[in-house]
Amino acid sequence: MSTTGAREPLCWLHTWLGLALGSLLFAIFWMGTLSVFDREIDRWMMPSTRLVAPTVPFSADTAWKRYSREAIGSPLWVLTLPSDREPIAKIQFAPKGSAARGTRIESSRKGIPLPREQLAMLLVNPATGTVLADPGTKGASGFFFPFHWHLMFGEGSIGQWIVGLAGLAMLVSLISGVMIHRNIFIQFFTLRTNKRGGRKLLDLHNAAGVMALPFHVLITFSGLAIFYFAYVPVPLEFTHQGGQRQLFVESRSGYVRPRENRPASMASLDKMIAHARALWGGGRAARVTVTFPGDANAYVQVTRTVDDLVPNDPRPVYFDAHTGALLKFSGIRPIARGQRYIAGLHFIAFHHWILRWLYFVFGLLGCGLIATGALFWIHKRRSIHGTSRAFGFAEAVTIASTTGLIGATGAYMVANRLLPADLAGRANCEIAAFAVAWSVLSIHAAVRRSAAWSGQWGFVAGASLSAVALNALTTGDHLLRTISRGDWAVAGTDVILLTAGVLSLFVWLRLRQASRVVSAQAAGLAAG
Amino acid sequence: MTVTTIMRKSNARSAAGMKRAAFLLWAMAASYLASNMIAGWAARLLVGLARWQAGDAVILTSLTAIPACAGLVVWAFSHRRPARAMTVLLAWGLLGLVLDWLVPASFGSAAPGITQ
Repeated sequence: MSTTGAREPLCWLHTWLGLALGSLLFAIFWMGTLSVFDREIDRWMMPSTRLVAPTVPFSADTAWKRYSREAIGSPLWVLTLPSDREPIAKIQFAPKGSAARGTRIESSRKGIPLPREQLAMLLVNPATGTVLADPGTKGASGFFFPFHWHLMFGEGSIGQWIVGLAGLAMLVSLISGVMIHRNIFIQFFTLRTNKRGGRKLLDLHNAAGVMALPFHVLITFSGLAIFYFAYVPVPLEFTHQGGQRQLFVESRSGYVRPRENRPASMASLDKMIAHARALWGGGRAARVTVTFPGDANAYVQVTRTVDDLVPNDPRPVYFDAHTGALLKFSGIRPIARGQRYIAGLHFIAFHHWILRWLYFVFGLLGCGLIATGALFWIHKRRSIHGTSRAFGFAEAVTIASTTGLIGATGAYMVANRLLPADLAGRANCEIAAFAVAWSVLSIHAAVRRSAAWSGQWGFVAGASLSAVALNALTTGDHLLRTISRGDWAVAGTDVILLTAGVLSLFVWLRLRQASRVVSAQAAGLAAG
Repeated sequence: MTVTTIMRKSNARSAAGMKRAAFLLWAMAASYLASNMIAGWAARLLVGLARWQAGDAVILTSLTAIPACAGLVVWAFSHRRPARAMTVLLAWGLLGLVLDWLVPASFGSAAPGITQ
């Protein structure tokens, strides 16, 4: 590759931006890739929720009658209805006496008084209506997914800004990466496996980048476009004196009104759902949200599933909770729908299993693109700067952020199957296991440097294969049983873990063999 | 080649690298400011002159500003005279700020309060 003229500074930009933010980008891509199957991994990590999807509609009225007592007087009661990918009903409510009651609603962006993760949650078996035991885990949707978009710092936090900066860096790297390649079409078909070291790594980097380039551009741009109002705040500040809340009410047909502090009864939620379905002209209800339950000014938002739509547009319908009268249904404006279309392409909430698998594979290719870029940088500089402290730091960070993170993910899943079900704070203990494993693997990378690769791949293999074995031992749901039962969520997760385990084992053995050959050659040279 | 020559070349290379790293940070900050301000003023003009709905203007201009920001960073970096590219970006950003200070807030702004 020639780096003359305008390409030289762009090559520098591509290299150093990738090196500076590559580790962070790998973590974001890795967690995003796992989040493609977050509901399926949830079933694996929450054995009590491995239920068959209900054939009869779940009654929202029954759920309200049974499980609303705690919510009266609190700001919110949310019922998430069961679906094919999540065959359980979820009931969430703000605990009584919560400091947020009736205050945050004035400043909240979407009119939701509390972030959803702060709400108390009950999982309900839709067939029997009984409450399921606390799964004691955040699963994938409560850990991998939030890690992907705010690094577990919370919505609107510094974590979200760091992810935004990494996204912008990825866009810059993609544009500069395309511009520095003179023969991008040829490089699509170039993979010289017979070449050694750097040439092969660069070919892999180019092939992974070029092969999935449209996906990488789409997923990076759509990730930033979801939070356009936060990442590009000036247009909003210039045009909306009411801030984000005004924008959402205006463009996404939101609805808010204050509490009246007078008790009132609840109209039929099932009738409201039927009314909403008639307005949508099809589709199923996904969520019923009662704001200020039990109050005379309470209102109900019914949203639809988006599994039959590309746009992530739940088309909210608002009803008066006391009378059941329709308050608002206007649909979103075309430009807002366009933005929701872009967001829908990122969330892939729609049912399309082939596309879902393609997203997973392309996500892994993205991880490979970032990792091979860093590996190429290390390989190229080892002979010149191999002994420098900065080079050692860059190498350790690369190992810790790639195999270290993958190993920590494996440890998280092993901890899920090993920790006792009645352990207090079990969900946090799983995250602690993830953090401890990542820290230990990072220290291992810093101490062992390039020799750490082999051990870390061995750890990944051990964790992945142990997770499959532990799942079979602790739940009895081994692969043959889940396949015969048609439980594809659990079977698929096991298959992915098995594949990861076998591939890692192969890489570990190859690296061990290579290091033995190098050691033998060195010993031969010393002896000769 | 003596050790001193190698050291001198290495130091010169790292000094150039540091200069470029500083330029990268500046380019990103200036591109972000400029793309935000241009998007903000485009939204305000769409609302104030073309009578667009404010939410539509915000979404369209913000979504355009995201790839534009990335493109401006690449443009500044590949420019023959990077300092001039940077000056242009900063000038656009500052112009947006000054205009915001000069033009009445009511121009191109959605009415306060929430329309149900």
